[in-house]
Amino acid sequence: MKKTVLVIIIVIFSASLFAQVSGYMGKRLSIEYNNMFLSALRNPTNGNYNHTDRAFNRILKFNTRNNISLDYVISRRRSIGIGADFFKTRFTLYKSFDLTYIDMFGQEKETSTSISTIPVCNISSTCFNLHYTFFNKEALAPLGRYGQIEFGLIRYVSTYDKDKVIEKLEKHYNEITEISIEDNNISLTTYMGFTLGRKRVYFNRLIVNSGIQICVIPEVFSLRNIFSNNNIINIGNINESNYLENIGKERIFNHMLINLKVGVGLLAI
Amino acid sequence: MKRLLIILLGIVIFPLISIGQKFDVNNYKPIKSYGELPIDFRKKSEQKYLEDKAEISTDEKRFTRKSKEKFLLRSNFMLDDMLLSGEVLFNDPLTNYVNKVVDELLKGEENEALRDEIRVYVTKSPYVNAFSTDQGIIVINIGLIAQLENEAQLAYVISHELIHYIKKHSINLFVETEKISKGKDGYKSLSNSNLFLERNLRSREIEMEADELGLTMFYSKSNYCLEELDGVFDVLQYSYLPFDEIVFDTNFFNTKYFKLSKEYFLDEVAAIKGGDDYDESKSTHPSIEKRRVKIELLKDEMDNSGRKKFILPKKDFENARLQARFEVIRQLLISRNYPEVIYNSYVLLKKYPNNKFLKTAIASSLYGITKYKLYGGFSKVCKSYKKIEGESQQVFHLFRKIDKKELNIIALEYCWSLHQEYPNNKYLYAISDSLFKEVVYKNKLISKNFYKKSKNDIKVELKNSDEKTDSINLSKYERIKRKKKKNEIQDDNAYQFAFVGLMHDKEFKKRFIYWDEEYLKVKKEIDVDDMNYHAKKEYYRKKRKKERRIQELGYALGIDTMVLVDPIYYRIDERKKTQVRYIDSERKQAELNQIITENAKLTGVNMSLVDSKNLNSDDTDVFNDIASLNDWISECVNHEDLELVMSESQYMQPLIEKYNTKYFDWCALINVRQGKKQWQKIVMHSILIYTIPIAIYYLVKPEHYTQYFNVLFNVESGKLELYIAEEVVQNDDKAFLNSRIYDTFFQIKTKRKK
Repeated sequence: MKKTVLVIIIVIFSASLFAQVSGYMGKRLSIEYNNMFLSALRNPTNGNYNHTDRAFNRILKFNTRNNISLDYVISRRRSIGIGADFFKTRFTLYKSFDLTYIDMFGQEKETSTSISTIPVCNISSTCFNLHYTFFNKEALAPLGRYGQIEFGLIRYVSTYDKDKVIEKLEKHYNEITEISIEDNNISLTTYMGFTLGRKRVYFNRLIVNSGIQICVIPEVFSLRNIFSNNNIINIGNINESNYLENIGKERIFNHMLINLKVGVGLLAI
Repeated sequence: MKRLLIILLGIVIFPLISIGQKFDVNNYKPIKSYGELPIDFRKKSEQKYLEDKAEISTDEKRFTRKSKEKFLLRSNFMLDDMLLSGEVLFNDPLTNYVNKVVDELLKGEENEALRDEIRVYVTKSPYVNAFSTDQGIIVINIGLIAQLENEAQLAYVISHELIHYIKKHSINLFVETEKISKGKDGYKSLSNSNLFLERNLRSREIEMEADELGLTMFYSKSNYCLEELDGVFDVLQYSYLPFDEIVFDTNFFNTKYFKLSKEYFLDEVAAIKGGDDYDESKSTHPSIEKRRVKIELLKDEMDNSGRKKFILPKKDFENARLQARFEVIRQLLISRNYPEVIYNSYVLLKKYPNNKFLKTAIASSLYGITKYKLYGGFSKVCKSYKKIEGESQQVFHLFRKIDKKELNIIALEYCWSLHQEYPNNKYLYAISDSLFKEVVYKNKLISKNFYKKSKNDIKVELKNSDEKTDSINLSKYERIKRKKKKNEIQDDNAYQFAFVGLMHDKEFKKRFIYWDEEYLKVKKEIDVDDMNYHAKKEYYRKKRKKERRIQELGYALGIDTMVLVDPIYYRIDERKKTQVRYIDSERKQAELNQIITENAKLTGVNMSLVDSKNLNSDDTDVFNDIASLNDWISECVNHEDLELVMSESQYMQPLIEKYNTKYFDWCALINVRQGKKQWQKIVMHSILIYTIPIAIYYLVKPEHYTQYFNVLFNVESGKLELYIAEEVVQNDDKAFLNSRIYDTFFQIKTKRKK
């Protein structure tokens, strides 16, 4: 693997060394802000989302992701760059919780319950990526139609307002003494993406970027069949201890899977 | 003091101008323009169109008005394209002479206004033709002047063209044609073939009218001889023949040591028919005979007394015709009509046997024919001799029948001999050297294949040695060698003696040995046809790799100084009947010039832009430069992929010195708007619901593609240094233009990193 990465790096940089790179009127470095968005086909971003919503309602609720990237043209039809994505999302708890409560007779009892309608789990995520852009035959980087491959690392924090859940559950159970859920989780995962798009230049400096992006988190494929609508719990490798990590991963996967990309940027030097 | 200075300048400058214009037959230089650039060459086409359009009467029917506007748009832009191409001359000896004839023809107060309106130019086209435009411009081809016999004939041609102008024949014929093709004004019931015949009929009527009125309104009122009118029709009838009909000497290419086989020549050449089988109905012009008879009838009613063939000095006409003939030869060389060049030069050599230009033209033609014979495409430069009439058929027959090897050898012999005569002529040396290369590389003949002694000398030598030496005393090997030599002499190997005369020239021998050695060094690489399967595969793999590398990394030529010649910009709308958007194209071209200048500056290329569309009255030199460069590129384009030393390269040295570079660039941009073709995308995005906005975008967005061409040549060697031909599915916005132009200059300027 290391060798493969090394070979890729050498190939990319050797192209840069020997190429005669004109860029756009001599400008090779660009900084861009992009927004990736699409209606929330799977899972919500919106706080009022209800998993029982019909498809039409889901269309009106959008996943969005902000991205800042820095690109450098390395040959007539290639560029490399780094980028950072930021986004926040939420998900609905489908989980059945094991909890211990004091019943009306003062006895401590154990039970299992579900609070699936309360969307109280937040995910805040930051991604860092390296991307490689190849422009089509007709284009001259950084202008024209392109394909972009990106590899990245996602750091996400899933937080769960335990008190709110307890408060809600206590409407049914008198006094909850113990609940089998962790209240926050910080995890890392990797993703890869592919974008097809087009960059236009206006006023010799302003870049307008548009395209469509597909991203996948390979780890999710090992968790479950992502195209199934089954409740995630009790399936595959997800268990009590890695619940927040994995349900978060799946949510991010859905969030990033397919998006439209629109952005603006500046040609720097 | 000031007055004195002006007088002094007058004394110095005017003789210089007259010297510049004088035709020196022994030192022929391509014909060029002089003096101030006329307004016809300076005014923007759009402005001319708007001015002409304003003159159309608003009382006319809408259809007629629109047709006229269409005509004026096309004719103004097309005429300007021709004027600015450098093909049309002004203030040169030929144009000046033709203008003097016009002055003579339009003498008198009644024609004063007309004379002021008319502008007459000569164009460097070698074909026998003349035409007039609706704008008052009469253009006479040098091809016509070259074939005329006297001034009176020229005067009649001009009279004919004057009628076309004053009767507005061009625009009226166009409107009529529009009516015919659209089925307006009683043309509704005509079939397509009848429409075509009807259109030609109108055109023939117009030509007859110009013939008649030209004679009655102008020619008969002048002092030109009426008897010469018949001669004009002779000129037209035999316009496809060379300047003269003289027997071609079959020994012309023979030397002391090498004679061409008699099989290469015809016993009898084809008789001249003079277009007896002319079918008038398919032509826009009436038959010559019909025209001749009509004029004959009119002429009989007129008085011929006191009329002359020449009103101006006869010498002026002869000089003009001679210059036109020399220029025709040059133009025929550019358009690769080599047998015609050889025959016409042969005709003129009879009168000027030591003329350098004519002999060089023959050398160029021999070189060109050899190249085409060796590398294919011979039929492009030499018509079938069966289609040729008259004495020139011998030349066509010779080159059709001659063996490649022999042709190469006689070409080299002729060129090298000429090089010996003019040792400082770089062009002659270059073509001789190129022919050397072909002898060795293509015909696989090395210096050892040629004898240094003549056939007779060797025979005598062998005979003498036979007598002297007792054959019994000879060794076995000496006997074999002697026998072999005797057999060789008797074989049909005459070409091996072709260089006997030249083999004593040290330079010739040295060059031959040089190419021998070069050939042996690179033998494996050059003979692609002789390679085995694996070698051939490897050769093409390497070639493809090189091409891919250029595509990927771009050129890196490291050129600091260059000239960009007359950029071309066309905007086309494929959906419309008049596809070229002339006005838009002219405006975009101005924008392109600005972009070119900016980007050259940005990349640090020292670029001179020579643009025919932005010339001032004192830019005649630049105009002449453009003309020379366009001649050069025309010849280059005519040769397509064939690499050869171009005949026009001999006139490039002054330009190389003037612009301080040998790199000249031509660029063209063509933007085409086409009808909707992306229906697949539109349907696909419509089905996918989420992408409906994209479908709408594709539906609303006009579809364009843009072609960008750029070629950079070393005009000294003729080497193509940079070649870009791209078609991009994109509009020609400013960013696109900037990106392409900057990249081109960047490739020209940078050097490859090691």
